[in-house]
Amino acid sequence: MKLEAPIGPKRRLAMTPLVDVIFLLLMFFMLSSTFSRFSALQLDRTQAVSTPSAQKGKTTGQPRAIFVTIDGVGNVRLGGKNVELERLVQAVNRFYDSGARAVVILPRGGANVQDLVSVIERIKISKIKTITMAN
Amino acid sequence: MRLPRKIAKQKPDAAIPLINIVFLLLLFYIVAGQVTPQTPEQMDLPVSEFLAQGNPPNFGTYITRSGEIFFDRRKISLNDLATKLLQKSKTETKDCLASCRIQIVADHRLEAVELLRILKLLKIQGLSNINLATIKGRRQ
Repeated sequence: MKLEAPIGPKRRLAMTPLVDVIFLLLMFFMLSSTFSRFSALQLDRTQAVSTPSAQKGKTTGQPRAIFVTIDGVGNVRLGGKNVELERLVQAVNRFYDSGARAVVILPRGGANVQDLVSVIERIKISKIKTITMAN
Repeated sequence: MRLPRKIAKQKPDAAIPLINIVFLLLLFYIVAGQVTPQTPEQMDLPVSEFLAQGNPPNFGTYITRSGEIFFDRRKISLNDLATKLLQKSKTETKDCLASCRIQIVADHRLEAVELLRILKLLKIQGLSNINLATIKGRRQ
């Protein structure tokens, strides 16, 4: 049986352009994607209650509570005064030193989850360990 | 007969170790990276700076920016979510109400008041241990 190849001499497939294309694709994905680092905000000791007055310490045995309000623009008010996020931990610690042992967070309409998360994570690294959310 | 050896024929041999390296890099990316699941609406997680890093969240339960709740890729109402989560926690561990954690992903633009409403309802049903997924980074 006589088999004749239609193309004369045998040609090897050029691999280098293939590798170039793979490199390009890889470079594109390496540069355009990012590895995100995830974390989780644990809400177990935080309770969503609806009556903040119960926490005011009027009944004996209740810890003295301070109130943190988050408004629609993202301003955080603590003890009636606007406080910046960078100073929030310091301010909460000062309240701890004067006897407060619980924080009640009151988000207002317009405050979003980002504001809430920023406030809660900062209170978690402060000295006060009891956090309650109310609305 | 002396056949002159063309240099061009050497190229494929030298390319094989290169391909090895490329495959190694590709394998690294396949193993180390995970593609985040697609969601009907763009989901941007809130940013946290000080929380400890953990595993990527599974998007089993997620709440979009407009307050819609999705469970297992289907939109459900809040009451249904509570029952579904209760069922899930009961099947996974014997008595989970005290200690099992439920993972929730919420968009960072969702209203905080809305999230509180959802959390309150879940707490009434007994699901009070909730992990809210965040991304590590600095707030812009």
